[in-house]
Amino acid sequence: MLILWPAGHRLASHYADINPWKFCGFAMYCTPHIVTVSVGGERLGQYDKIRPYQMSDETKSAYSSLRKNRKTFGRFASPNALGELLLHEHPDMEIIRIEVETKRLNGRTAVLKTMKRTYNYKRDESPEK
Amino acid sequence: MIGKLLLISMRGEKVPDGHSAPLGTRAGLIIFTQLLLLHLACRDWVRYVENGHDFRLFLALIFTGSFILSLGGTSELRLFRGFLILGRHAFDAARWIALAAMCFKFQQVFPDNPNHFYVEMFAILFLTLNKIDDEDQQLTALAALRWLPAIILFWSGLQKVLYGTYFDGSYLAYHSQMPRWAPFFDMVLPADELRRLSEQSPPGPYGFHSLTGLLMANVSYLSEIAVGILLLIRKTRTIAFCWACGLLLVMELGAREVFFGLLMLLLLLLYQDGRWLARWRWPAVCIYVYLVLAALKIVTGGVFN
Repeated sequence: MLILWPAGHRLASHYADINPWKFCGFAMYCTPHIVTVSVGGERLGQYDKIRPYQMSDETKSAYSSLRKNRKTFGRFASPNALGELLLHEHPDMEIIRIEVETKRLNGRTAVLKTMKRTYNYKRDESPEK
Repeated sequence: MIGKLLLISMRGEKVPDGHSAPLGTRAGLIIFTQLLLLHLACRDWVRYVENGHDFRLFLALIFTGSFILSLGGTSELRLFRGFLILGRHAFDAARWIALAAMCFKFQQVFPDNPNHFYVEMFAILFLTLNKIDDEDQQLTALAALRWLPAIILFWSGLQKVLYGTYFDGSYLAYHSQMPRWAPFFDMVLPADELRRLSEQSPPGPYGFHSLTGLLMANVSYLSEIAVGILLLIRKTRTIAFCWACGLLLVMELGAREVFFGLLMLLLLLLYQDGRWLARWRWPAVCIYVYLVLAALKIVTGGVFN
């Protein structure tokens, strides 16, 4: 299992953005893995960023937990809980948007490539990617 | 079945304990266990000094206790054996306590456990699940432990190929500006390459242009893959051992992951006659004591990770 696992780790790292440096895949020093999470929302058609200091303690904790988990577990860390909390905390916003940016070194172009995933949460609707 | 075959391929011959013969398999495994427990204890002492987390202190105390208990298993240290009375049972207890502590550490640190944590965890698991007094199980433990450095080196190299960031040295070029790496690159790269690298900024492109840089990047992963494979072949193990030691030395100059380097060296020594492990005991003790003192800032320790 230990002999074959790093191959599975490479696939999980590629398709689910899990951290190449973790989980015994021996892919340390292969690429930087920089993850940033930003949140915002639409109010009367205008997009506003939501900063951590504008969040309640519970939401702030969910935000920092998502940042940490996303960096490690990649797409396996769902932002849904944070989305729900932000919808509840900002009743004046129609849409909550969570953006996750993952930066890695691209082997072909040697450029730090940014992969962006956006999660939109609308009131009374399931999230859309 | 496949697992059994893989283990048999790495078993080697049983070496009896004795004065004239090379140090026996049992004695070698005992020394290995003691050094591994010392390694775990010192790492957590250093971590505790660095960040002051209570669980690190707890782990450092547990591993130190396990290390002292494990000394009861060494026939040469009759003083300890007599002192602890428990003798062989103390050695067994040390391994089980260490395994429990590793499970606790896994729970405390997860998901941030570094890769070498898993290596230590597997090493302790192999040592604990195999009885030290059973000849067959001694060889099984030795074979399983020997697989670890081969897997680590082989996959570390292959992952670099799969990510494709070493062919033109883009990853090393990206990291060349980091304070920890800078002295190493200052030493090996030509001045004009260093100047060019200092002008690189995100998002790149990053990469080496000099022959030295390109050679260094490509030789690093090729060496890891080659050493990983050569360790599996009985005839080439001595060459692979020397090559791996050289590779570790270069890695330490760059990445300065001292504890990882020491762990790898300990695992690689299992490919050699048990006397090498015995000779390594005191230098290892001195290095670990030095690292703890450096963390306490009692002696100058330089920058290590």
